[in-house]
Amino acid sequence: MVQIKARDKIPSVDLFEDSPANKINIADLCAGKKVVLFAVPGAFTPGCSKTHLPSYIQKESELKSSGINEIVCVSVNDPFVHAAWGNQFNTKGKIRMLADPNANFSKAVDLTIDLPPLGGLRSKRYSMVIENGIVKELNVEPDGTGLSCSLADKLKLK
Amino acid sequence: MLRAIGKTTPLLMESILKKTLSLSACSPKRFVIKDHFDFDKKVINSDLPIIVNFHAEWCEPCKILTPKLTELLEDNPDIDLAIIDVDTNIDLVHLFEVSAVPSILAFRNGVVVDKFIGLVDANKIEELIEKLLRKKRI
Repeated sequence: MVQIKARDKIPSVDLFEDSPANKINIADLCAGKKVVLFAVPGAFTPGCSKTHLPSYIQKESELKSSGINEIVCVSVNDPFVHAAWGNQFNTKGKIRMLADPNANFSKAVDLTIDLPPLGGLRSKRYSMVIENGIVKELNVEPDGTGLSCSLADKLKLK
Repeated sequence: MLRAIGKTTPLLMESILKKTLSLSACSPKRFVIKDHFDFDKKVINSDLPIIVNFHAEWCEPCKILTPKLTELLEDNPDIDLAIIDVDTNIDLVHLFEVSAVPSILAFRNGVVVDKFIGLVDANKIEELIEKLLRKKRI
């Protein structure tokens, strides 16, 4: 698999909302819309302010008023855990919590990372802007282990 | 220790005394590094192996790892712990090419002998400590 990049089409993969019985095809969701999709290594894991659920909730109205139709949060977790994480932050109506339990989507875009402390193959931490199913922008956090915070900004300052 | 006798200063005497007394008191040696000079003094010139923890207050994984490291090394008189806040020590961040926090570097005699990045699992942390202790006995 080659890592997805700008101008690529979002693959047609099913993600799961709230339970394994509720599948949402990500390509269908992105059709005709402007979507911000961000992914984290795991629900409830400690993170950094940039690509993390609380900061997207804060920016939600700002993003929606600037033309974003949907904000999607993906992680390789079972749908119950992923939904529960969303509920903790009251994401209903603001952010779509879509679980990728078998990492099918994460593998299809080649943005996986092996994280033994979390149990195995997980998604990398990244954010994407998708317009009508085409990736416009992709930002992958270069933190390597998933349970750390990148100092890329600090290093650039010098 | 022997090489230091020629340049014994009051500060060094105090440090030697502290170390010999600390075996009974078991006082935790935990430094917060203020700058490059402080780093040279407390890490590069440390007699004991020392674990250096690059930490950031705004990083949640750091907030979990730093207390854990402190706890693990608290009753260990053979390894010291130095904490470096990356926001106030950018030069050290660049010097050691620290790309993410938390970053743990193990120093012995002024050189890096091991490192890991991120909130790793407990076994990895314990392995690092064991490795530092083992080599010391050779």
